[in-house]
Amino acid sequence: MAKIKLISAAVVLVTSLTTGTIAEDKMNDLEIAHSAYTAGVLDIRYAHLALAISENVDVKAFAQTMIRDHEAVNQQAVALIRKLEVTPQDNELSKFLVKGAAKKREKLLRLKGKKFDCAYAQNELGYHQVVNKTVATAFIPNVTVPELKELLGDALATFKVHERHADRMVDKLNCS
Amino acid sequence: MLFHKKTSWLAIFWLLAAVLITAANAEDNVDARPLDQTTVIHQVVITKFKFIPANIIIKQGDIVEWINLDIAPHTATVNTKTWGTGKLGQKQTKKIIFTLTGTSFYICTFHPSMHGTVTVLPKNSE
Repeated sequence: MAKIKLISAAVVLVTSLTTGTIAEDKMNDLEIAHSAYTAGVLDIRYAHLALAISENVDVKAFAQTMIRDHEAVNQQAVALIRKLEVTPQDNELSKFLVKGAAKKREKLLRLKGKKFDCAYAQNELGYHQVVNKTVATAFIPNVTVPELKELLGDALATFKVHERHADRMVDKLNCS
Repeated sequence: MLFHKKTSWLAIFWLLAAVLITAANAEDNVDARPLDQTTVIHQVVITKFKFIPANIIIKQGDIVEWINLDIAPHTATVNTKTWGTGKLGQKQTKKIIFTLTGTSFYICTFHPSMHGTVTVLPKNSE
């Protein structure tokens, strides 16, 4: 029994992760939930990569924070999904995010030392900027279930802190 | 008869032990120090990546309780590492008793942009 009401409102998603492309799509609550969860999982994967490759204390600390915070948010999402007895739906945006992250991970895997740290930090900044904009302007205004809207609002507060943290990390690394 | 008396005393002993163990477990978050009638508990709420109030003034022997309302885990950790709440998940709390006067600057070690102070005044100060 799907308690989440499907919506057909047009959701414009500005997603310029790596290519600067703009994806326009109609998303319902279940698709929004899937994409939000996927974005968190992908950032956790980036963080594990950083922990494996980087030797910079600040980068590692940031990566650990990403794992800790995104896991906490996603645990709440899973709890809500179970409570509502629904199944999030895979969709074009989730696929786009997964595909983009796979390409980025391939690039990151070829880097070491400061080059890796800078690439990781800059990617984290860009990733959070795009995800935060999408959550704020597309997900939250269009989602219909109050609990999901509230969770996305709390998650956005967390991700905004990550964005500022990533910005400081980029500055501190003196990446050219 | 004597056997029954011993049995009764043993039963009372074990009952008391069980009660005391249960009480200790319920107070895991409190430093193991006796509280007197004048002990005051101050609460600092962690919400939206801020300590509220960020700066708190208390008296010697008072307790500060931190409660995390955010989804993200947080800590309240003094920069000298002499006290700290450890990791607080959502809705988790930690109480710390302050016995030394002075001002402590603390941060969330997971999110260093979050910071606060605890100022401890002498117990008999006005």
